[in-house]
Parts: sequence; C-alpha cells; structure tokens
Amino acid sequence: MIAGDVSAAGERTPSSLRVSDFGIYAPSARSFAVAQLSMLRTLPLVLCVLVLKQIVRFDSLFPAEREDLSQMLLMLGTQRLTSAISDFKRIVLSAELRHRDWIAKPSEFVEQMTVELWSSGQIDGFRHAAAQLAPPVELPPHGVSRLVVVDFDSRLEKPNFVLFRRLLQHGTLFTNLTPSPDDDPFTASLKILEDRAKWQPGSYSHWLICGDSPPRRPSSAVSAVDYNSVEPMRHSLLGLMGAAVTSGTSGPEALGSAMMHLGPEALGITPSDPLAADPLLAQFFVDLLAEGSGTQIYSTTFVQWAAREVLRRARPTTALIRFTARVRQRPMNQQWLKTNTEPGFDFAGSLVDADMAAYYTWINLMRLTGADYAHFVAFHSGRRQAFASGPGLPRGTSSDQAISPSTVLSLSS
Amino acid sequence: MRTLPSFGTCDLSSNRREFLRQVAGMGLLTATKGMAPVGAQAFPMLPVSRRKAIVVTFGGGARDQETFALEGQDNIPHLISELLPQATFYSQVVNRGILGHYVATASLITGAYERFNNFADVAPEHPTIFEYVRRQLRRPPEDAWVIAPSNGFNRIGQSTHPSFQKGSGYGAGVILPKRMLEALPAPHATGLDHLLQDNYETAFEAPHAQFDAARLNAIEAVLKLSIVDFAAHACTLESPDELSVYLARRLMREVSPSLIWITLHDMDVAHAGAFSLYIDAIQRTDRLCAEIWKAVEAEPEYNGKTNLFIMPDFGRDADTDAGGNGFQHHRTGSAMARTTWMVAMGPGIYQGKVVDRPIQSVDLAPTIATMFSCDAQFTAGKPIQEFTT
Repeated sequence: MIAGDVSAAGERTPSSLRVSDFGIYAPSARSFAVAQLSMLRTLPLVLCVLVLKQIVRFDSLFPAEREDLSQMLLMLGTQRLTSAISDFKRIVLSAELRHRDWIAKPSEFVEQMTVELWSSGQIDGFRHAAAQLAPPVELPPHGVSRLVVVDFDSRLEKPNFVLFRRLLQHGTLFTNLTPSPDDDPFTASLKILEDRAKWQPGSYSHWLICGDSPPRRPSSAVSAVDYNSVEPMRHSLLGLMGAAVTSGTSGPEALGSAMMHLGPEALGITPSDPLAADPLLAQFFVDLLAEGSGTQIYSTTFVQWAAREVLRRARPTTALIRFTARVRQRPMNQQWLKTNTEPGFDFAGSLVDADMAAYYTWINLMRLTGADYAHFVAFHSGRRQAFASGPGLPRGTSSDQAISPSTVLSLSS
Repeated sequence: MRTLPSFGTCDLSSNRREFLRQVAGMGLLTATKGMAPVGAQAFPMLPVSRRKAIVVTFGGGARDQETFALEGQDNIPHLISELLPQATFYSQVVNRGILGHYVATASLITGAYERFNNFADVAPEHPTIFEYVRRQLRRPPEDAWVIAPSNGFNRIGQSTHPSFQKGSGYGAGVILPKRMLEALPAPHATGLDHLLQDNYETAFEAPHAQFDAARLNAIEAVLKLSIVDFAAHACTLESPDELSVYLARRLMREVSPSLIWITLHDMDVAHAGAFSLYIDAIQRTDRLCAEIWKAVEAEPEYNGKTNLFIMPDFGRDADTDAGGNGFQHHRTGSAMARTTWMVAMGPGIYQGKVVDRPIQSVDLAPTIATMFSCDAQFTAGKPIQEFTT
C-alpha cells in the first residue's frame, strides 16, 4: 500500500497522463480532457479519477454540470483547494486497485474504491475531502430566483395524516385553498412555468416532472419527464435486472456496474423514438431508472428521485413536480417475473411518500445557490391546503383565509 | 396568521432522551458503582446453565427520527409503553464499521468490526458469540440459533477464525425462513410469494443459499414442525419478519436454546424509496418485538431467565446529508447512519433507565459473553458496565 500518487512498477499515475490516453473518450470529452491535461497531471490519484469520472461522460452532462466541472478545475489551479488536495493525498489505496485501468474506466474504479474505502476505514476521510470540492456560491442566471412547485394529486388521501408537517417551520401554511376549474394548482403552476421559460429561456432551466401523464403537455421550452412515457424503458430495465438475478451468475456489484453504463439503446430506445430526440435527456432518463433505487417500481420514488437529480444536476430556474398514486407494494421478483396480478394503487401510502418527497425536494432546493431567494410552493387541492416558503413569507405560521392557487403562486414569484 | 409549533430535525439523542424522561418516567443512569440494578440479587444466583439471551436486530436500519426521537415515537408504541418501562435504554450506540447489513450483523455477532465485502459469500473472520459460549460451556449444537432474512446471512453462525478450527462446529444453526419456503414442495408453496421474495436490495445478493429438502427436513425435525403445518401457518402471515418470529417462538418452545439471534429486515424496503412502506415496516417490527417478549414471559424455560437486547444494526442517512437521499439508503457513513440505540431488559438490568454514555455496537457480544461467564478474547468491544458489574 502506498499513499497519494507515488509511482510503482506497472501502474499509471496522474503525472504520466498523455493525450493518447483519452483516445477512447467521446470527442467532446476528449477535447475537454486534453485541454485540462496539465491540471490533471498535478492531482492525486483519487481526485484525478473523480474528475475523470465526470469528464468521461461530458456529453451527458447538463450545462450546469459542465460549468461546475470547469469551475472546480479552475479552483484547483489557483490552489484554493490545497486542503482538499492534501486530504486526498492521504488516502491509501491497494496496489491491486491502483493497477486497474482508471483512465479508461474511472466509474468502475470509483465503485471499487468505495468498497475499499469502507473496508479500510477511510470513508470518513474521503467524505471530508470530497465535501471541500463544493462549487462556489453564485446566484442563478440573470439574478432570477428559483421557483419549485409541488402538486399532489387530489386523490392522495390518508385519514388523520398531517400534511406538510416537516415543512411548516420553514414557511406559511394555507388551510383554505380555493381551487376551481379555472384556477386549479396544476394549470396555474404550468402557466407560471411556461411564462418563466419564455421570459428567461435557457437549456434545461425549466422542468415538468410527473408521476403519470401530465394533464397537459408543456411548451417545447420546458424539459419534461413523466413516469408513463418511460414505461417501455422501465420494463426493459426490469427485464435486464430479472435476467441477471435469475441467472445466478451476476452478483450485486456486477449488476450495479452494468446498470451504471447502460445507454438508451440498451433499453430499447431507437434513434427514431421521440425519447431519443434529445440524446442528453434520453441518457438522463436512463440514469434515473438505472441508478435510482425503486424508480423502476414506484412512481412516487421516480418523481422524488427525478426532482432530486434535476435540482442537483441541471440546477433549474423553475420546476413543477406532480405526485400521483403509486402501485401497491409488490416483492421485487414479481416485477421481473411479469406476473399478471395487477396490484392496484395505494393512495394512502402515496400521500405519505409524496409528503416526505416534498420535504426532500425543499431540502434539495435549499442546497442550491441562491437558496435565500428561492421560492417553494406545495399544493394539495383535495385537502384545500397549500404551503409556501421564500422571501417575504413568514415562517411557522398558518392562514385560514380563502386564497386561490394563483394567488399563492403570486406570493412566490 | 397564527404561529405553528415547529417540527425540528433530530439531534441524535437529546430529543428522545428528554422525552423518554418525561413520558416514560425514565431516569438518567449516570453512575454505576455502588448502584444495584434491578434483579442484582437474583442475577448472581441464576446459574449460568439456566441463563438465556435473545438479540433482535431492529433491521435493516432505522433512524432515530422514525423511532425514539420525539417525532418518531408514534411508530413504536409497544417499545415505548410496554418494553421501555422494564428496560435500560442506551441512547447512543455507535457503529464504526461497514454499514452493510450482513457485514454489520456479523460485526455485532463477533464483537469485532468485520471488513469483508457485504455481498460476498464468506463467514465472519472473528469468532462468533455462539462459538465462545458453546465451546467454553460445552453446549450442544442446538443451543444457539440465528434466524436471518436472506441469502447473504447463510454463513453468519460460524467463523473461520483459526482458534476455532474451521468446521469444528461450535457455531450457531442458521435458519433462513425464506429459503425454507423455497424448498417446500410445490403444492405447499402456493400463495406464499409475499413471504418468499426478497426486497429491493437483497434480491441482488449472490450466491443463492443452498437449501435443499434434506436441510429443510433437518430443521423441521428440530422444530417438530411438519411441512404441511409450516406452510399452513405461513399462509396466515403478512411479512417475512413475521415468519422469522414465528420460527423463533417455535425454537423457544421445542428446543429452548440459550442464544437466539433474530435478524428482522422488513424495514429495509426503504431502499425502494417509499417512505410509507418503511414506516409500515417499523410499526410491524415494533409489534413483533413486543410479541417476542411476551413469548419469553409465556415460556417457563425463558421467563425470568432471559435477557432481551433490541437494537438496529445501524441507522440510515440523514435528510440533510447531501451525499445520500435521506431515509432511503445507508451509504454516507454520516453520524445519523452510524448512531443508533439499544433496549436491554431482563435479569440484572436496570428498569426504566436511560444511559447517555456512548457505547459501540460491538460491545454487545462481549457483554453477552460476560453474562455467560465466558471470555470473548478476540472481540474489539468492551462489556457494557451497567449490567455486568
């Protein structure tokens, strides 16, 4: 065992990186790596592999992620992350791991490294080092505050369940929401979403995420994903998982590794498929299903994870997130055995799931830059309740005055 | 506008500690020397040969805020109102090892932080509590059992430690209820899918444990349970953990082992990301823990002679941990994922007390060894002083 990037016979170190090493990368990833070569050569092995893991999938990164990557490399060049670099240098990896092909397959290397960090008791040190790589604070584009709206399907219900309990201390609860056919939460929120997409255009800056087919499709300026539209991909993936499990030849790590590198074509998405129209989005949908636990089974999990990943990766200006009922619990094996039993929907459980998911969405929004200026709204028209937080809205208070969905939204924009 | 009461995030142990003092009337146990625990007079007089210990892992993985923290206590009414008044509650049990269910449970059983790959088909490297007790007290094979949820636990009963000579047979028998169901002849297995299948994560464990008809017959002989009766009873149950507790009760009645280790696992459904299913499983586990204690009180071989230890194998990731996704996983290694609790009860253990002093999860095995007057020489933990003085 040796520390940092000290060389040993037969292994590659960051200082030995060459332009030709990136020949197997996709063109844009290769160009980016070559442009950063002098910087990459100076990094300790662990940090270099983490950076390469991002670079190798450069084509699948959202603009915000590319910006983050560039910013981090810039900061590494200015020695602002000296402490993080020192911490990464202290991590000791086994010779077996160091001899793996971390240049061509950085994701596989990181997977194995994670196992080793746990077993060697270095995971806490790694976490501490990685936490220092957070991107610098900056406001969203054009100084526009972010807006995230969560809409609960009105049929989600569980008697005596207290909605928005975890959110209450962070904003205002409205207990007399007055939705109407002309002013229902989804329609009002979609209008705001489309207006913001029109006034503040940007790639992947405005999103609609739905647990089923949305009541109305948004304009093309909005990036959209819904659970129903990815159904063929879900079934393809479950088929792959089932085949791997029932074969008995693939352990969890091999299966996880294989799922991590799936492309749209592996899930039956042909070039003529509408989902393939935007390759970046198509790969993002695959990642949601292949890398998220339970996203293939429960719509509530899919929507929560999609919202998390959209906020984390695309850093949108606006997002409308709609939770609908998920199916009842079924054992995993029944998913890929394709049993004919229709489990039905669990409206009560879905309400509990969505309530927690709304809280997590608020947390994920608060992690983004400009959180102090961000607005968050949640609606449950069936209960005639809404919650709103953001600048100007009192915290830990409730109002029983009649208020329409549009008015709640106007308080938050 | 009116002000609402806040619903804060959990401060690991202080919230629940204060609440327990107020609601359950539990006192803080701050000193041990000179203090006699409840049953202290009775405990030394209870011969080692008659002592029993049952460990229940409240698994797989539960956080403070869904259990003993103020906002979680509605999920565990049986633990709060029935068991805690009879128990000492350890508010900070820290797991410094790998947070995978098999390797973490193996660490609890050996009292040493095992370092093997959680998904590998390997036995613990350090001697298990079963080996210490069985060899030093010359106990027969049927005196120690593990009831475990899934494939991966197949080899948890017996270590590969050289001092115990691999294969020498001082380990515990391992019952994998779901594998028993799989081995049932076809007519009897009908309608048991809901008990048979693994949840999201365990489905990927490999390799599949071999559990043929011969092994099924051997266990049935021990439990004095026919295939027909086993299948018929299984049909009445809702979850794999209920099946585990049913088999534990059967073991207690028919075999009366000194050591039973029950690894509950329903709540690991959390990996599928549905919070409601995770909460349902916690509530079920709470009920099953109370049923286990009732079984102890109902069985003459156990009543008054048994120490019950209930603890999660570890927690789960914190809501605010950016590297995780809250309750869903236990991947970050943060304090919330590493810190949990333990309920200890039975002879020689204080009743209605809270211990704030941090202990480690690996302290449990040497504590049990001490109770059986055994030397667990290869453990990394220390006997818990409150009930070994």
